[in-house]
Amino acid sequence: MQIDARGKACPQPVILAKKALDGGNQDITVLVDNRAAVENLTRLGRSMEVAVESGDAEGGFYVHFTGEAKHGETPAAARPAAGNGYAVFIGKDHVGGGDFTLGYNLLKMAIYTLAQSDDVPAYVLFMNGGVRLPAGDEAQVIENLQALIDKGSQVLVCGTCLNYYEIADKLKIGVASNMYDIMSAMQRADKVITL
Amino acid sequence: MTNRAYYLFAFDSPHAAIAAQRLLRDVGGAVMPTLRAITASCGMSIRVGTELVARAREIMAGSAIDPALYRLYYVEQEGADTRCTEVLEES
Repeated sequence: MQIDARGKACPQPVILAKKALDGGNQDITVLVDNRAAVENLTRLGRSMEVAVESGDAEGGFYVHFTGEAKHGETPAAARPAAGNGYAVFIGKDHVGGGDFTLGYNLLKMAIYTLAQSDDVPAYVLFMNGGVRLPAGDEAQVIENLQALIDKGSQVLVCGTCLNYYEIADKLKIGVASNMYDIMSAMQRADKVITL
Repeated sequence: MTNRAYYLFAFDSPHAAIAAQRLLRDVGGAVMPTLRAITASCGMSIRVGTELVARAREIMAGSAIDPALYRLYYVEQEGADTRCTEVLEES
């Protein structure tokens, strides 16, 4: 079957594809118009253990699923190594109110401190203005997020937000994700720290 | 855990620290919280690798930042132990 999800906002393409996979379809092509949707659908397919192929299509991209889906899986759910761990939610590109430059540097320091810690978060979640960090040019931030990933953290970045700010092509670290995955991570975590 | 060594500019003023991190970006300066072992600080420091500290010191010396507002430390980390040694100005 074919699902035309072009023009549909995140996470609609994932919802439609998951519904089709849950329904037992073993040959599904989803058409989308942005790369974040391709990545979200690819992770959905992997989490449901079907073969995934993607490429360019008219007006965007296609993602092709083949095989029998493993049912009941949360899309691309994050899986912490031990326990449920904790999540750090970064919804803006600075800490607190007040002076922006100070807040921006405080956030860089916070990410540095997390990366140095032996108790790293299971998830680091970026949304709204926070997505400017993993899509920005600050080498320190990118290096520290890479260190967190190397230690087992999952870095999820809101794809809708990347698209809104027109920086989806600038994402340097982490995975372009969706509200499903980000909410799922927060629900699973033992606690959520909001910066 | 591997041994690590680096230099740390510890600042008395966050304004000076923010100004310095702009200047030291080209030598890989990374803003970080001042280590607990160093108590006299605003809490904001700039970390620089050992190979680039000479250049970083030149940049700082040539800047408008008052040298009285910061101190330079050599930091050695060995496992859980951290040793900080203040680097005094060469006479």
